Amino acid sequence: MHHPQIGRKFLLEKGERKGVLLTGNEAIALGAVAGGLDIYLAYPMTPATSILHYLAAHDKELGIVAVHPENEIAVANMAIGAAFAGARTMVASSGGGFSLMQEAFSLAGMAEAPVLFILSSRPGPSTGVPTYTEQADLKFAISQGQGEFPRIVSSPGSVEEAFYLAAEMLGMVWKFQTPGVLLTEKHMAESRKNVGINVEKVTWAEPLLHKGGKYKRYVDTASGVSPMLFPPSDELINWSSYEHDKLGVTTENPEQIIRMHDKRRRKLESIMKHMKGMRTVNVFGEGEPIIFTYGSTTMSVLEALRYGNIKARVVQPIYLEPFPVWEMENYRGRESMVVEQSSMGQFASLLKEKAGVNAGAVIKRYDGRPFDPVELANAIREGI
Amino acid sequence: MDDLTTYAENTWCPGCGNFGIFNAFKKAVRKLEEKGIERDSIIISAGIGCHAKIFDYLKLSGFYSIHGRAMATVQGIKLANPDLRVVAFAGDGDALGEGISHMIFAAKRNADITVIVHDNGVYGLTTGQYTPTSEKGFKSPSTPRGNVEEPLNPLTLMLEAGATFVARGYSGKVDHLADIIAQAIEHEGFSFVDVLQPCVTFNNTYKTYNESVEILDQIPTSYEEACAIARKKVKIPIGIIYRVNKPVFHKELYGELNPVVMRLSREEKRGRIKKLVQPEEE
Repeated sequence: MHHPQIGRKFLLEKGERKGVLLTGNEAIALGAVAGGLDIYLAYPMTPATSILHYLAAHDKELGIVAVHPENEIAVANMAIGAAFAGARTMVASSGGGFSLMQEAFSLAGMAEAPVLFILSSRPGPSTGVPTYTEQADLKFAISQGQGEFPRIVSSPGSVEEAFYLAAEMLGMVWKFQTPGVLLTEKHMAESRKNVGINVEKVTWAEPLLHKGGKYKRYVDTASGVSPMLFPPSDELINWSSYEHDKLGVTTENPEQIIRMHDKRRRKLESIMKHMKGMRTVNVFGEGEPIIFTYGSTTMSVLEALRYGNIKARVVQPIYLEPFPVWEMENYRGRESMVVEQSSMGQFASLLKEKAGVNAGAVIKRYDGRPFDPVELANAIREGI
Repeated sequence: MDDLTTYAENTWCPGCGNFGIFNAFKKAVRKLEEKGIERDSIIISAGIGCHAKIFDYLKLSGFYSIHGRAMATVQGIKLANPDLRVVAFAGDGDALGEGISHMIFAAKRNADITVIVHDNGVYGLTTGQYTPTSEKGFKSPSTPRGNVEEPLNPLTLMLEAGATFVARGYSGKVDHLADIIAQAIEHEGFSFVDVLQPCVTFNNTYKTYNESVEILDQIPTSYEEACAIARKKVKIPIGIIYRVNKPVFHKELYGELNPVVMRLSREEKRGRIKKLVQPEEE
């Protein structure tokens, strides 16, 4: 195949491919709608803002409602309230705004409110470098909110995957009634790609519903997931931020406290069991060396390998919490390296901590720019 | 125990002003039921504080929210299903401290919600610190030499922010308060009820309020008159201080839609996306 080179940096394939041009943010927006989104709420913050712009511009066409409240705290709490009433809701922000939503994130964990949070990273800390890219929010994403409760965190490796994953994540948070984070970066959020998306292939968010009889919001089940019922109803429906009994009434009783902790922990086990039947890790190529990467850096790594004509196996965990350790068994003790956009190597540290994978080399970039394919190809060669 | 009260053990102090608000609210619900408003359609929320215990005691559906956020929670509920009538209970610290931004913006956008502020001028649950409505000089564990700040006037604040229903009640006048609450819930738009509430343990104001509250004969006819009445201090006017009809937030945003009741099917949503991103090929 002929690869014309532009400025010796980019390899372009000539082809007759048909598809649609979408940014990562547009793909997330459309994927969520395809998955059943009803209400989107957000306060502007780069690089998450264009999701709000896109959904506000196309609200009626897509049959959704887009709202821009006074701050991220209102955003997250309104989203949780809307979920109580049965609406599939999604919110988004970057690091600073996401920090303001932590209180509500924990509330969603306790009340078992399904809300999908999009965390669109920029270089931090604090205001950082707003219109550039970094992957420094990985541990922040998986550790959101005070207290212990299950949460689902994933990150797409391509614009196409962003579309399907947004729908899948909306489905996951509704299936397990717990908050989820779709973690992405500026590099993904605002990269425009020609993608093939098939709306027939997306999942649809459906909760487990109450089947009649006396309703108990937090009834104990084997899976930890209690059936849902939405107002108005002649049954009492009470969600709570306090530790609560099965009906949602506040409790300080030690047995009740243990029971609810156990129920929420069982949900985590149910999530992991469910994930074992899903594609939670992408593998590109075969053999060695093994290159671990995730999120938008996956695009950079694949481009660098193509450019440098390097043979390697790229392992990209799509899900980061719960971490798909069961997919990592084959990679322990093999020649491997990590590529990530972080100064402290959070992804390498997570791989070690969660999956016992020790990478020989960690290729990092943290100047706000995505990896240059030439430089990354050279760095990978050196790493081998 | 009546049919609007749960099995939860009531832990308010004997003589707490919250009992008056609790009883007035139950009376209001019955008044609304007589008018054909079903209790199933009344959804409650509360912040965190002594006021919020009302959530556990009232046998109504709802969401026990977090400190300062009940106003946001109920706005979310209302946005998702505008057929529901939503009520947020809040303390003065809740509504005017931690959650003041939500109050101002709910009033500004005329969100069709009701906020009942249990205004006792003290953080009771955390043992007696000064709040945004405590008088200057109020001595408390966090202001041992006296509060150095002037109090907020919740009524003029809400009037300025754009509230379309502003009232003040007193927990010691239960029937009068019940009538205000019922009208607040019936009002289409942002309704705000500031309830003067003694805290028998940390700020016992029974004597002052019993001597100084004065029931308004009629609803003031202008915004200016409402503001003037809201500022009165020596004799404290109670009753509906301002009421006006204005377009409500959810209808301005999406008209007659009901996002959960009128949700598009899976096929319809897919069709909409195809139409948007994959225009028909020639």
